[in-house]
Amino acid sequence: MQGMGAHGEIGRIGHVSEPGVGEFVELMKPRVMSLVVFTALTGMLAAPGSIHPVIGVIALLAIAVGAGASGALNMWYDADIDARMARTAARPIPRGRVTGNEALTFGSILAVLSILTLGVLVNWTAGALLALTIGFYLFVYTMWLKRRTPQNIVIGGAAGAFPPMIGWAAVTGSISIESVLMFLIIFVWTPPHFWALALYRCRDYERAGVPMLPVVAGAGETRRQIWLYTLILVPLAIAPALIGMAGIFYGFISAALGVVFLYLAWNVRRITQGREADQAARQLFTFSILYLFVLFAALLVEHAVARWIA
Amino acid sequence: MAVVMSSNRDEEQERTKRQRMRSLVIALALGVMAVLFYLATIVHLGGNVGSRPL
Repeated sequence: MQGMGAHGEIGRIGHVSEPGVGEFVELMKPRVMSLVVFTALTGMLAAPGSIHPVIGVIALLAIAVGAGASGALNMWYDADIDARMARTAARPIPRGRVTGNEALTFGSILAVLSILTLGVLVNWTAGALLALTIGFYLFVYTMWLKRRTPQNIVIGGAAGAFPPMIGWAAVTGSISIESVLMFLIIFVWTPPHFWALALYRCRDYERAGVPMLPVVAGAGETRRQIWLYTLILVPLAIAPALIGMAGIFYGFISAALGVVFLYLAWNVRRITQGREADQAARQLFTFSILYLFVLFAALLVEHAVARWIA
Repeated sequence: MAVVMSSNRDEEQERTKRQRMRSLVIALALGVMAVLFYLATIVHLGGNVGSRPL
């Protein structure tokens, strides 16, 4: 419980008046939430069978709230780290707008409500997967791995990879090879995405004491690992088209995006010095977000069109 | 002295406003949740719920 000691202090930094609604929304990491909802929706549409629209909306809402709960609990535990990093110093707890206890209570209530809602109103496979996701993100990633090992985001990446599986399970009540494939795509995408960020934010992570790969093993090893993960990611992302889960449209898009990802990852590996090296890492980081978004958008559009025609 | 009192009053007003807004959002969220549970129950019961034998 390394992060715990700092919470009381951080909650009292500056002027904690009555926190507003906006601060609680910030605790939920809305941008992460939107990506979670998007990938979960893709999982729902890609799944065979159908779900009543009302139940579908409830499932998405519960998944969104569950993601928000994870964000709030993560901000509660990591408040001391957040205060030391430029990227996160303006979050509500380090800024002194919300206390650690408020974030903990808020996150816990949302977590319980979202899991129960998904379990009771949709199905318990989806509910259990949401519980696993929140638990994995909080206990395995945030509390256990983040401060201890450079493999933190590799294993912890699983938490971000579960939403399409939850969406799939909301429709089918089960787990299958297709939903595992969507999980694997996000899981393998996570390391190059975060390590590209860590390459140009290395000093930030070092100051905060987070053992990201560039801090522990150096930039050279990080560049090599980014390249290796990219080599696994690109064919994996094309695989849905090869196993009949997606069509030609998705296959073409994923192949084209994969070529760009390979090119940018190769640039990161090749350019190792100066501002150009930072620039290459930034380009890969920015593109990786677009990559995942377009990939899942292609899958979503293809399945939405197929359903509309049928 | 007058400036300090006015600043305290402003802060108090802002605090009350934030509290009220938070209570409103919580009430709204609970209301939405109740409606969703109601709708989900209707959906789960299905279309023939009215014609089942009592």
